[in-house]
Amino acid sequence: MADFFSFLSLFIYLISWIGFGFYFKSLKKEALRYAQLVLLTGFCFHTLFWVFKIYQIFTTSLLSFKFLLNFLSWELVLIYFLFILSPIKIYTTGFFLLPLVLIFLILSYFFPQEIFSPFSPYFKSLWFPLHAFTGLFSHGFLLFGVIISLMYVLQEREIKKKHLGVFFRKLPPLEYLDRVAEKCLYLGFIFLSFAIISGAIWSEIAFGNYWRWSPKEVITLILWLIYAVLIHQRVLIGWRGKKAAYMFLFGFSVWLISFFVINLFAKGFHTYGS
Amino acid sequence: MGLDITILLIGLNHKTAPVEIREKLAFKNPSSHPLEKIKKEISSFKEGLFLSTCNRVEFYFILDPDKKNQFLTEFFSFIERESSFKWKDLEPHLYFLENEKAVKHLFEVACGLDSMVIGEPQILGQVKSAYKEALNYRTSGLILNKLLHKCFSVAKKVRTETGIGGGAVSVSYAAYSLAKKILGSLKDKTVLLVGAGEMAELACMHFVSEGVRKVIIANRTLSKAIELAEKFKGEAYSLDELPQALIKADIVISSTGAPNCIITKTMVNSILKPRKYRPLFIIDIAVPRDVEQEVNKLENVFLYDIDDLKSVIEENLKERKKEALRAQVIIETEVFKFQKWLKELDFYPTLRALSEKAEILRQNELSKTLKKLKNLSEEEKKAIEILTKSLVQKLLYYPINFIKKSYHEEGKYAISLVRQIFELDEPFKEISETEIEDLYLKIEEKSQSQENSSKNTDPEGILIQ
Repeated sequence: MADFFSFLSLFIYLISWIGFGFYFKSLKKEALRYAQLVLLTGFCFHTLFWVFKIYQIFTTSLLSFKFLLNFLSWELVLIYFLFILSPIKIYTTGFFLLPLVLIFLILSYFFPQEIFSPFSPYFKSLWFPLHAFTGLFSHGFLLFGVIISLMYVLQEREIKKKHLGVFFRKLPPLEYLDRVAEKCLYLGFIFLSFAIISGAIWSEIAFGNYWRWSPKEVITLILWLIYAVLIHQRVLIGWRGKKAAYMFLFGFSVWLISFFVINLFAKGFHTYGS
Repeated sequence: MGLDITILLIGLNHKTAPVEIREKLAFKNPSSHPLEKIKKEISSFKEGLFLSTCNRVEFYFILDPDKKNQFLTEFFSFIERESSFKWKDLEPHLYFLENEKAVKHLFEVACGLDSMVIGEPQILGQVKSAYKEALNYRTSGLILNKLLHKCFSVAKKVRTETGIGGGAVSVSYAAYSLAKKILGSLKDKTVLLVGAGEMAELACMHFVSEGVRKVIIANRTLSKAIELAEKFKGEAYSLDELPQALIKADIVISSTGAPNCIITKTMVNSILKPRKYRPLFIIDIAVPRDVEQEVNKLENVFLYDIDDLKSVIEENLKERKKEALRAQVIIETEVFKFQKWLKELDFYPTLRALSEKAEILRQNELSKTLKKLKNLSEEEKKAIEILTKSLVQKLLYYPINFIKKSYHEEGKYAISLVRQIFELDEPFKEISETEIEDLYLKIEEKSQSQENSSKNTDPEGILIQ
């Protein structure tokens, strides 16, 4: 039943993306409205799926890697709706965001069920879910920021080159994109900090020491440092626009390594492989 | 029966006639409108419309086909008298379009397809006021009313369904839309004018009307800067203080007459840090240019000179031309619809439509009743059928007689009226019982309350007396 909901939401997201495509082409308000409505429907099914799934995970204490990807795609849609409610309107984002959501969802079907996290009852404590959720939400915000930064780079290039083509007409103003990316940066950073702290406390409870220098920990620290530098430069010097957008994209590549390579192949207690 | 009216268009525009001819035919004399004169002097037309803008002068007439030649000779002599042109000299510049082609032309004009700047929106307002004039002088009748209303709805449709009005096509609007794409909302932004020239002032007006927060002026002679600053309620700087002014600004409009560059790359580079890398949009409309080309390479600085803006406009015009093709399709279908309306505006088509509609209603009601009454004999069924038929025939006798009798006097008015009353030009839709009940209930309530109020006021009236 739960898997059916997941599949259904994948299908509905695809339809919604087509709707956003129509909006991107025509910039008609109705197209946007229908696309968002369809997206919301898909999101409801996806949420239902996760209600079932979280119950299942807590009862069986088994967490497969494929569900992390699924959860990330759910989160991205949630963040999209959060930003829709904010006063800065960045309507065409859906067209760029949904491919990422769809890729994550489809990828999650390719990973076999057997890639488990060693997640035994012995680890059970409130710090663990806190660590997992804050970690995943930090990923969500940073990924959303990456999409926004990508849009920024596309828009900025057209304006700088004085060749005002498709993107100039369809994409939101640079200033708005920059501000949304900034929000994503702050929120992602806060969640990442929480994830590291709660992870450390949990590690202390479970293993007796706060920091164990596993590959995952190291690369997360690098990611944290990148974003810390970015925030520092933005607040003090005023790094923004293109430079900030490129930094975001650089952070994304580090994240890719952290999420796919380290999680699946490296040895250590974060890994899902062995 | 075919059409017994002709829609005639006589006109000239920027493509067919030079401005010397257009201005003489524009009838810009405010004391007398050409329609007023034409109405007095020429009697052989039914309806008329006069459209005059800086790019075109057009007369639309509705005529009897038989009287066309008589009308044309009268009209030619009228024009000769009014414009001091010989008809022979004028004729090569004019275009004469009839019926379908005239309708199509009017639609194209209203949509801005025939304008110098394709898709410009002012023309629709000009058509609207031309129509108002025609109403004023009572030269617009049944046909023109329908034609113009159709024309307005076509223009609206074309505007919403195609991108004919999209993209900036003037320098100041192009600058404005670029600023919006870079800076988002302009409400909390500051504009810096470098040089207190007229060009900069004009460009600035656009930003001011869109609500920028503040205007700063930097000029070689400070007194002129102060003068302009008072006008915009802003601050004035001399050119030496340009870096300080640049720190505060978000949008720079430069238009000095200086022979070399005033804003250099090193100058802008030095203010980036104090500005905290806030985006800066520089518009250089001066020739020779005021701003070094290299400035555009700096981070978060966007420089557009006058040629850049012009190429943006050209791109937009190309885009509009593409959209014009899509507009043509819409216009053609609407012309077809109008022609259809015109053809049906006749005695026999209306009669047919009316009796068809009545027959559908009769059949529907009959089948409903027969379903309820199952135990009827064939004879009884026939009797009911005859009853409904004669009821419908008797009711329709009045409108049909009305059209027939008044057809020669009021022309197509009677037909149009009947068509409107019976909704013959709209697709058939079933009227529900509740709708009918509601309607009658409301009427009854109103009439009762009116009776009551007249009763109530009576005694008061006596008291007052």
